[in-house]
Amino acid sequence: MGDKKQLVVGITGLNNHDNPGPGVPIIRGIRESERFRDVRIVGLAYENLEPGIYMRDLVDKAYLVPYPSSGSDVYISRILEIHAKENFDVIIPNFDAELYIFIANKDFLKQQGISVFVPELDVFEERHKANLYEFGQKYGFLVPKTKAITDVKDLAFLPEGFSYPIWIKGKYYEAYPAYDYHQAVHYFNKIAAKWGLPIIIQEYVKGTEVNAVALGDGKGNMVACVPMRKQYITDKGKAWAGIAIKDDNLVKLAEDFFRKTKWAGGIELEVIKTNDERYYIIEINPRLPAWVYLAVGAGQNIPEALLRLALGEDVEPMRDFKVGTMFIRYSYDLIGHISDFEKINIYGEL
Amino acid sequence: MRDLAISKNGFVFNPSTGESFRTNEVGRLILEMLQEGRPNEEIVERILEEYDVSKEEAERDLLDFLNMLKFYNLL
Repeated sequence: MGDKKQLVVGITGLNNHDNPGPGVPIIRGIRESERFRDVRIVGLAYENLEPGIYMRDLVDKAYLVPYPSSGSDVYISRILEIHAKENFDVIIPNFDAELYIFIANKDFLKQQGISVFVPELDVFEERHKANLYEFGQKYGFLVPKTKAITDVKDLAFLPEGFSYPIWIKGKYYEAYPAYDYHQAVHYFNKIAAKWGLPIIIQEYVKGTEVNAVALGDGKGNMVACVPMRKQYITDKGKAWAGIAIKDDNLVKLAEDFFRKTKWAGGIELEVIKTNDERYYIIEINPRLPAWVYLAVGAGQNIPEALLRLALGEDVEPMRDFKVGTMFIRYSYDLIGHISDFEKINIYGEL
Repeated sequence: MRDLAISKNGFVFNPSTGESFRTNEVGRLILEMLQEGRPNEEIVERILEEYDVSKEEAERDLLDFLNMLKFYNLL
């Protein structure tokens, strides 16, 4: 890179535990990139025990940041405080709840020299779980009937078109199938206590769940896409093993999504494929999933492509990937020292 | 069916669903012949050539196997 300054990339989502964020796999993709040999990775963490903080071979420096619920001003001022020390080129946000702040402050951050590659606010809101049914209607995608409710009493008389079983979903995370009213009330309360309101109820469509990780360039083009089927699911509903599959219809669906929405950035498409080959979108997660490293292993380095897009480069679409590539997650004990924990606790950085 | 990856050791991978199966030697023979588009009669004849079974038994076993393939959406 000659005299060029070292590229500095801030990355969130270092929570690589049993409900993992995508930060660590994204860093692995960037670390393995031939194009970006000299990158300084700055981890942005919410909790002082997020494992990524202590992965010194992957993360050069880590800082604590306030939760997005602290408010946009608080959040952004902390980012600028870190920026004053680190001089970010790019920040890759990976946490659903923080995306709104990055989208709303994209231009301001750009003025400060920080690029973030995120979608436009309107389409970001449109694909939200609570609005997904209307999103499907608008853009011509099959979506199970979905409705946001704010009162547990609404479960006593299900809205028209709904019958048990139904899915009970949190606005950001967690989903459970409820087979009767009592189960529905139980899950409503459980999720509402953790993630707040509204709660989303969704029609239960029978079929096989298939997923895709994909990346859009913001101009209507799909840059990458790898479909995956989960092979092992934890009791939190997270994929603990999965396999890259050949599903041209799902790839086409993802391509349609980018063409119609001009989405900038990564997504995880969660889809139910019925026995008669219809594809119902059940969720569109607005960022790369924690299993994105499968795509890297299968031949599409999506984190590298995302970083290139954030830097304003044109990226040629990747089409090929190796079907049958698998990921198997595992737990691993990092050994640290109390002095590191002390630093992140007291100074908010390590 | 044409996309199925069938290994010599009887491991069968369906790339469109990610599912994998194990089959024995006869199952592998049947799958390979189905992939080549061979008719059932020809498959039965081949089984009779290779194995010491009656025609009725071969036909019945083939039918069972085909039903199982349908059950797993492989046919």
